[in-house]
Amino acid sequence: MNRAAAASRVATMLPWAWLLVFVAAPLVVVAKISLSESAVAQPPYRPRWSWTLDPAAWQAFADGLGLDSYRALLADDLYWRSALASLAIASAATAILVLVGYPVALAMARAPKRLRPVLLAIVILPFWTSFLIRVYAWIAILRPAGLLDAALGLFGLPPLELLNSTPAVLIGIVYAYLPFMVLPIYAVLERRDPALLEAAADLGAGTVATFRTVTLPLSRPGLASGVLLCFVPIFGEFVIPDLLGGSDTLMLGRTLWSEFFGNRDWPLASAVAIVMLLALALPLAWLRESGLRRGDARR
Amino acid sequence: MPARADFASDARVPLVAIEGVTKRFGSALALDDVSLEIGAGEFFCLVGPSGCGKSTLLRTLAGFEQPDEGRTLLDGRDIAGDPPERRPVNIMFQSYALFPHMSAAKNVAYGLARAGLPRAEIAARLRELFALVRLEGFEDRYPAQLSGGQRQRVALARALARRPRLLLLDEPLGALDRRLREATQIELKGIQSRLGTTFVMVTHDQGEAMALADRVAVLDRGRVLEVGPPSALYRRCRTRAVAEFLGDVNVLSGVVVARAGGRAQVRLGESGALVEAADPDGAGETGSNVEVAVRPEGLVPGDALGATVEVATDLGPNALVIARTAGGATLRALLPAPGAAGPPPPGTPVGFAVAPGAAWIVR
Ligand SMILES: Nc1ncnc2c1ncn2[C@@H]1O[C@H](COP(=O)(O)OP(=O)(O)O)[C@@H](O)[C@H]1O
Ligand SMILES: [Mg+2]
Repeated sequence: MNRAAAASRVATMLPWAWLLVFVAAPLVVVAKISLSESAVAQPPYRPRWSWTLDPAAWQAFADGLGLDSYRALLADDLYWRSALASLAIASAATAILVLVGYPVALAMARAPKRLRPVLLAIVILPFWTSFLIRVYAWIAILRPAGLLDAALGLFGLPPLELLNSTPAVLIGIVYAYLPFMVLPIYAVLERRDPALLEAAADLGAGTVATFRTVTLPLSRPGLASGVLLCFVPIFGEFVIPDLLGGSDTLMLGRTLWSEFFGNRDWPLASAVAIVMLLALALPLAWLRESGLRRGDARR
Repeated sequence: MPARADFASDARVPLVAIEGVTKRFGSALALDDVSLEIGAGEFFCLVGPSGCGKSTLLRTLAGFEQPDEGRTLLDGRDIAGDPPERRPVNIMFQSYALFPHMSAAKNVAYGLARAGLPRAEIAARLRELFALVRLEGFEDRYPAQLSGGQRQRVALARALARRPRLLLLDEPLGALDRRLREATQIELKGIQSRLGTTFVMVTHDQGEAMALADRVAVLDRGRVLEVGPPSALYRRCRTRAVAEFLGDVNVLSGVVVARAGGRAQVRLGESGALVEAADPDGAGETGSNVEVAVRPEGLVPGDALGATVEVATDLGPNALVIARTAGGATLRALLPAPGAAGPPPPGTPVGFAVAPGAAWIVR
């Protein structure tokens, strides 16, 4: 094998190595912890894995593993309820994000060419300040007697006192994730061939029909990326519900956090993490498969 | 078939009338006071160098551009306010602009579905259209699964589907390779005469315009230089620019020595030979300096013009001889096939005469 081929072999293996070290290995560790049992120890679970060649030690380790944490997950409806609540909030937030983000992306793609970089910069600008500071800013806006209620008061409207409620969480999430919805949709809309819109108009389609039959179907890949980029992290979101949500705002990310740090039940927290991962990854993998199968006729 | 050149003298209204249309993009003048009339059933070609405003004129007719000045009439009615979707006009785009997410059938049916035609009728029309463009069996393919020539046919069928009064074609054959283009030209002409639809086609290829058009308009820098049947323009255009755009041409200068009934006797400046040149609109008064145009095929062996061969190329059916006169002028002559001996070598002295009726005066 010559040197160039060897180099290219190494280059193609690099991403796999990266995935192995930073994705697969931690997952194995988390899966292992989820099969352990909680203990008063440092770290707070057992059995511990030790690097040894003694088969008896391996046997003891294997005997120590079990599905107790998963049974606990099923037994306590807290987890079910927080999973469902996460699902509901993630779905609602993603739906709002689509309804808000698509028109923004469309307006940007239709703006004059020289304005587009400016609009793009405005969408990306919030990333230049810390995420936490921006969420704290929302506390100031939403808290009782905060900016929002003061503004409503000016018009003689009653205060909403939104802070620490599920609507506040939705507002915060939509605010924080909007760029992740807008950018992928904008990217596909911006690249579309303007002649296609003219062809639609030429063949008798008005604005609405053109949107329904041409713009929307062609932007589907961007829409799908936007939905993925938002739905998945929102499902596990912890910071926003913790800072803006009330004590009754259950979300899986928050439950996981309190198992881990509040109850120091690492095996249970890990089991929650594994179930959450499977719940997200399996449907997505299936969607991708079927999407590819449907799509390959066109490429 | 009646000569279409003289339809304007008919009492009937032309299908399309473009009256003094001017279009600016910023400070650039894309169309400069363009006036044209196109008759129903005509195959009309717009030719001219790249950037002369051909596409802009088509887009004005389709409704994508609004003229800054002037009017566009369809059947005598000003269509300035009509959006593209409400004009009985369809356009076939230079890039075809097929919807990539729809099958060929869905593409062709698009305009029919928008018109709200019942399914059965759409299906029947699809069969007709796919037969017309000879694409039966390709209905379910997506554009990415079709060859360039097949995509071109889908685009044509889609543009014809709504049975437009006027079909606009922007360099429809430009993306095809030469052999396919020549075959498709014949088909396009056949489809046009079978349907009787008025075609306005843009091309930058004057040969294509010659092959297809009933009449041709030559554009340059947003202005219409000349309009007429291609055979007439090719042999009797008014200006040197049009003569040069429509093909190879020899332009010789001389002095008019006599005139009679649309013909002039011109004494060529260099050789002093007398040449009879057509002068349909009396450009050359007796005694004036004029330019005489002769196509390469209008030069025959003779002794009016002496020259020496620079390059001679055997084209098979004939030979193209490029020769230089003593005065330094270049002559291009298309002579009969040279025979087995091959074309004359460079440096050979040759003499040319102008075939009867082959020369005309240009401005
Ligand atoms: N949308 C536009 N904006 C600015 N200039 C344009 C636009 N469309 C055409 N032009 C200009 O108008 C002139 C005519 O263009 P076009 O009609 O496309 O020429 P052709 O089709 O004959 O090659 C060109 O100089 C071109 O640069
Ligand atoms: Mg063009």
